[in-house]
Amino acid sequence: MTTLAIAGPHGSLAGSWKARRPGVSDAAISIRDVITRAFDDFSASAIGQARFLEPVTALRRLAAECSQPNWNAEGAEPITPATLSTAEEVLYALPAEVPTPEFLPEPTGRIAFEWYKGRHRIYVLSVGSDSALEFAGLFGRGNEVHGRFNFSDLLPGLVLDHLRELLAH
Amino acid sequence: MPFDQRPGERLSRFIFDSGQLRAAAPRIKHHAFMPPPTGRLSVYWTEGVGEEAVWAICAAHVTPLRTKPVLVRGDFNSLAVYAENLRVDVDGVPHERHANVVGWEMGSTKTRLQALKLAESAECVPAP
Repeated sequence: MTTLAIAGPHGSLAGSWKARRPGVSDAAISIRDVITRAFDDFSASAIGQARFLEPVTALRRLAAECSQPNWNAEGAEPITPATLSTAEEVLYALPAEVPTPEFLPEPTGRIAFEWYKGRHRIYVLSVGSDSALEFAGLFGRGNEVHGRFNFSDLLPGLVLDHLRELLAH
Repeated sequence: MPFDQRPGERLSRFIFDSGQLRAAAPRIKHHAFMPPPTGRLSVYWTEGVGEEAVWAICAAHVTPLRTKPVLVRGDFNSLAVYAENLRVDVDGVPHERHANVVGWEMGSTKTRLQALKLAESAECVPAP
């Protein structure tokens, strides 16, 4: 029930809150503290562990493993703390109904969020050190997409449509 | 021996990282086929080369550059490369069968899609 309560149509309220914390007035700070406590309580729950803590741990492990140049012995660029930070923001912004993706290091130092539903049915959202997110997807033979968008707290409807298309079959 | 004497030539990419393999099926993930910053994806042209000789090439020229043992190789056809408007450059270094997949638009989002499709076309062959 908690999951449903915090999930919006285009992303997770808790995720957006965790990603950006605007407001400097007393009221804003008070509200922020309340929501932060609620988020922390949720994160400590069984659902929250699976939804946030375990994936964040996996992301941080991946970033640590690929933090040095040439981590793949083929000249790969390192995953920077800025890229890890963006990846965590994107993770928090995923809607509750979207399964946790697998995190893959790319040779350019980006982190790929991958959803795999079978052969020729894959969607990848790639995160770098800035707000430019890249996507590529296969939805069966001859049905493919790729592109780029600027991320600011919430994922655009386009990406969510892609994920629904992938997960619906 | 000139490359591309057939309608499609077998190419192989050696995989050392279990994170580049799917657990549920013998498939290779896309990031194993994404080009490095140089834009040259290292492969071997293994068409017509026997199994033992393919793995011997890996042992002599690829494994020494890695810190892990080879797990599988991904075999794919040069036609899959051409279908993505990429090219195969047989450079012969460090072995006469060494090649690079080139022609990537580095920085384009198309690169990731091309890597996805090459990975999907590849068949896994376990190391002996």
